[in-house]
Amino acid sequence: MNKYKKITLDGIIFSNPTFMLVLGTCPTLAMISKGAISAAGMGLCVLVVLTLSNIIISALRKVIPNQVRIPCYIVIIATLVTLVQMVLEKFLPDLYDSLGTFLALIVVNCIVLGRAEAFANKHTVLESATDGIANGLGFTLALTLMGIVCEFFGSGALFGFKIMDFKIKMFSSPAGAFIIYGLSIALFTYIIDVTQRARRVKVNRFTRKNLLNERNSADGTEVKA
Amino acid sequence: MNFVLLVLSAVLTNNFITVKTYGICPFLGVSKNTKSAVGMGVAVTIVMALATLVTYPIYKFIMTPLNITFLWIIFFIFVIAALVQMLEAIIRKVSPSLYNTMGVYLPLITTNCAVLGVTQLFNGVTELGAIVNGVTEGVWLNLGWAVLYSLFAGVGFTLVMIIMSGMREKLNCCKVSKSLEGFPISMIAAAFICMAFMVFAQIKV
Amino acid sequence: MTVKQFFKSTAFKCIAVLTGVLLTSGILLAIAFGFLEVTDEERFNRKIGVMYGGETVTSQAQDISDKNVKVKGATIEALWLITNKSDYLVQASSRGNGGDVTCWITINMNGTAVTGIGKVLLYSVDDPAEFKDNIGNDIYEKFHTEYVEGKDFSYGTKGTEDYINTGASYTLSAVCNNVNGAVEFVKAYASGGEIVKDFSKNIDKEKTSWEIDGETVIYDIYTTGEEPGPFHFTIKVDASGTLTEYIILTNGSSTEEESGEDYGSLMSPQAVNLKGKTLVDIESYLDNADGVLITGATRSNQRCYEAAAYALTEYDRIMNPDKGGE
Repeated sequence: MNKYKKITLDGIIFSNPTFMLVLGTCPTLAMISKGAISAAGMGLCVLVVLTLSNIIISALRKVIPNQVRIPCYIVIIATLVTLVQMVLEKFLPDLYDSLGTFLALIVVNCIVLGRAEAFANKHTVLESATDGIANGLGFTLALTLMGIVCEFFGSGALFGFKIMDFKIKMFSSPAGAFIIYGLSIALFTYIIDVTQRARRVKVNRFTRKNLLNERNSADGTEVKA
Repeated sequence: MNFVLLVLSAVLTNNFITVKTYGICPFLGVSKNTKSAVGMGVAVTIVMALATLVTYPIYKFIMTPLNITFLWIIFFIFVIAALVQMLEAIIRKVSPSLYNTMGVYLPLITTNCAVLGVTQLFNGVTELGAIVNGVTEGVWLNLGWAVLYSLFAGVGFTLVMIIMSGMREKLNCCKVSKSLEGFPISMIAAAFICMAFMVFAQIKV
Repeated sequence: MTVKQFFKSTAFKCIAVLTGVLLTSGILLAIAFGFLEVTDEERFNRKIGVMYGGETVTSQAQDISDKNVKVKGATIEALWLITNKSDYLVQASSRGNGGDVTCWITINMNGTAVTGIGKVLLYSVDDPAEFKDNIGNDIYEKFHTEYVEGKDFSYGTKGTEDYINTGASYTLSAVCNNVNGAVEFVKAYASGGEIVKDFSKNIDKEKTSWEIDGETVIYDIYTTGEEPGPFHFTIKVDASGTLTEYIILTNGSSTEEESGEDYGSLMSPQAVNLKGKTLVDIESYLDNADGVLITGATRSNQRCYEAAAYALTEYDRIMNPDKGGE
């Protein structure tokens, strides 16, 4: 069970695709400047594609020869993206319109191919599925959070509902998205850094105490001797 | 006149990086120094123009009559991958020195949004009016215009890459706080380039 | 290598797997496409559904290719009859700030009479500066609530009592033009009539006068408005429908504050270029704004063209008072 917990935590926090690895930047920037709903929609589409592609690729990992694995992965991912695109166009036309061209560009999103190459072709189906969901969630959460910030400053709204009557147009353009993204990465790494350091200090204190105890006991033995 | 408008639109008004946010990965990844930025930019420009040259007729004369346009993602990505492989092989054979400066970036291009993005622009889903404000409203781009547009979109891409690499070379000499190092400070620098390019949106056609 | 060896080699395995994956995905997608295809008709109806708050409507495209589609500064691009609502849907466009402003307008009908305006939707705007964001939904509502038979909307024109300060006057006047044009066009279309070409929107009819000199009509035309201010012209039109003289007596154009460039002094010498032009020429200048007057003051140029067009269209009515007129 510990293994799955580690995969999940890695995907969402410690190797978060958006903040830590800085992958899939094009849709991130485009969608957060459009607002929280588009950003969350994009994140969920990637989540679905990533999970399915991870499952299929890890199921086929023994069948696909090493030499043609990349083309095979691309075909599988492209198929999944086309499927998602069709479903969205049929049932959620509004979201389909707001995602626009970036829906098709999930194919060339480094996260999907990256996870297939780095994880799914070496692990079991269940592990790969967990990894897909975790990374997808990490991506979705990151996009939604930044989308909320951008939407609030850009139009004074929250998920499409106007809550304050002001707007700074820059935040609904790529320029604002760049700034929010850059600052978010900085903040995220800072928080991770601080918590890690706190834990390290704790561990250090613990080990130092142990060392002291040992030395004391050693001293004791010396004295005894 | 249309030609001038097209160039302005592709390079400045609808710049791929600063306005459409296509191809951000190489923009942030390969812009550490000007030499590699130019290499990447030129490689992307060539692949974009060639990809449009190949995919536009495929879409128009093969996929549309057969009513299989829904397969365009698979078709296009294969065409781009094949094109990149071929180009790499040819450049390595013809000019090893060129390969050293530019060819090393070629394999990275297959998964570049800018290339798939530019081929998608012309595949009949979007009307020209939406791509080039007022160049020839409501009419489909013909092949020549499409290739020209891709070429100059690539030029715009290269331009921004070069500006960015210059900024990052300067940034290397600056002391920034630890958590802002690397991507965050580059992105904030990129935001200022975007703001500068927002002015071009005011160009009236 | 024998055939048997080939079938056991990695090369064969690669080809087989790749083909297999490709075929499977192709077939899968084809099946999915069969279930999930969105036809053009569905896509179009979905767009119309937005106008009716998500209701399903059926539409029928109308043939307007033989009609005069230039009405009150707007071009009527398409017309649909909404069969289950007895409404007309009009797609109209006119020039705004950066380029064309295209609107969808539903016109409520009772038989062949226009009873009101349903909804106005901004369909597309060629305006990279996005002034359109300044026009709130409450203004689009006004077209529905403030419709009065026979009255034109002029929310975007400075100096009128309807004027609303939005910060997007050019775009809003283009929308108003579209709505006015759509109403006028549907009125004529539904009753089977033709549209009379009318360029008198910005002409000050009280001050304007004319004299007849043999076959030539000499006009003394004043225009209205604040931005640009009133113009005063002397225009002569001969029997063949050509401008024989075109002089700007008073130029209403403003002086550019920043550059100190005086549009008036730029424009007046160029007025000679309009000599010898016919109505067809003038209409094309009005449409494209790429005319013989190159000053950078688009709206002033428009006024000059409008005055010329007015003079040319009025010629018949003045020479044969019995036939024309209302």
